[in-house]
Amino acid sequence: MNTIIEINDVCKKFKDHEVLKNVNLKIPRNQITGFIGRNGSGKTVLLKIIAGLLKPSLGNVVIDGETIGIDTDFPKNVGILFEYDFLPNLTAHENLRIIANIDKELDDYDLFKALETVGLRTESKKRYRHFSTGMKQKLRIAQAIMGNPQLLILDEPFNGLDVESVKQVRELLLSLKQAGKTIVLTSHYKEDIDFLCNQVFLIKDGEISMNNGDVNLEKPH
Amino acid sequence: MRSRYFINAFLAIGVSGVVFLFLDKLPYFRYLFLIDSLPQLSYSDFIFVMEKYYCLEVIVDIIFTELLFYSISVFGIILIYSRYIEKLGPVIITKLGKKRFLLFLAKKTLALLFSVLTVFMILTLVIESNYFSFISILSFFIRFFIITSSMTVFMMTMIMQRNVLYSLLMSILVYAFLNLSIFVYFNLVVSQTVLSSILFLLMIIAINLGFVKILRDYFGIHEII
Repeated sequence: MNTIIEINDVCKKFKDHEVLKNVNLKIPRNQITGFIGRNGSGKTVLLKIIAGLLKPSLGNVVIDGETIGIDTDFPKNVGILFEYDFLPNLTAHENLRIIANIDKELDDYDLFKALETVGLRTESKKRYRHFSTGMKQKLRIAQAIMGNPQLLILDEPFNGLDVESVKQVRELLLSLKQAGKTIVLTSHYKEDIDFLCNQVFLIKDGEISMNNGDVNLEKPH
Repeated sequence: MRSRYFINAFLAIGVSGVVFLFLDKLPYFRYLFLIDSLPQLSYSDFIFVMEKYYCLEVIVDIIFTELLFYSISVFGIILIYSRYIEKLGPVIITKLGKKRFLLFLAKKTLALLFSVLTVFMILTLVIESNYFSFISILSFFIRFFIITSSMTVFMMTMIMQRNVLYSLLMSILVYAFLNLSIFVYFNLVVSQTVLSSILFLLMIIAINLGFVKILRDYFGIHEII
């Protein structure tokens, strides 16, 4: 197995509350890995630690041979999706433009292509504050995939999406996997996870285990 | 996006104009700033000024004026904070890395504040183009620079170190160092500048402590740095 991410003895405490307990994990390259668990089980915390946005209390995360927080602050060539907001007064395209200007590697064609991929091409001139919850989530997905990153870290990518959009995003993620990307995602919905993921892990009370399929977290879409 | 730049520029001119007109009406505003920055003032002039203006009213004016400058810099920093940390922060920081992200924030903050200041200066010169106005603008610039730098250092160290005492200490050190440099450069005697500096320093500490709560509310942001 060609491993891209190694999680070694990771613990995370917030004051006295231990969210993650001694997590050890290897995530293979070019596959989709999923994490399931109830609200507050530590899925998002684990993904933030992998993305370098949270520091583990103990242990480390190694991505492509580089230890996060020691060799590098954040993983290279990564697209992330967490629950963050864009600037409400700007349009979808303008918001992506601000982020793209940081790398200076993406032109308008790339941005519109990302918007088109998630079905927001016609809404590109619409201000973010007028977006529905689903459209906001699609814009986050567009932001994560623009620039063609090799690793995608997606926290609840299906949140707020309608049935049609869920199908679109599933197809998108499968096509990205076919294109050789590595995807790590979380979801409440077992159906999404079963459909997409090569391997699934269950997080319960801060401990991680290989999911044996007997977990029923939420109703499917 | 271009039309929005025009709107922002228009707003900046409007706000700066109102601020200037407001300050211009303050009784001792100009003269106090003349003292702060004009190196040609002789000691006797200074004594004269002290006799004439050393009163509660002057102190109130100093506090009020500097509080106004401080508010402008705080407003600018909150704007940058909300835009580039609270909202787009996680995405930008993963692209830039921690150090470049902090430089990016500092650059954005200073650029915003000094563009407002430039508009303010141009506007002042257009309204009243004489030597006296120029000197008062120069004083304003110096004051604004000191306050902005101190405030920026506070925010940056607070984000980086998450330590209130350390951040306050750093901002006070920057404030003191810049003030001292100004005193030495303009060869100022111990003056009302010192008085205003000390008063303002106390205000900086008080207001920065107020800011600590706001910064702590963004716990996730602290974690990423």
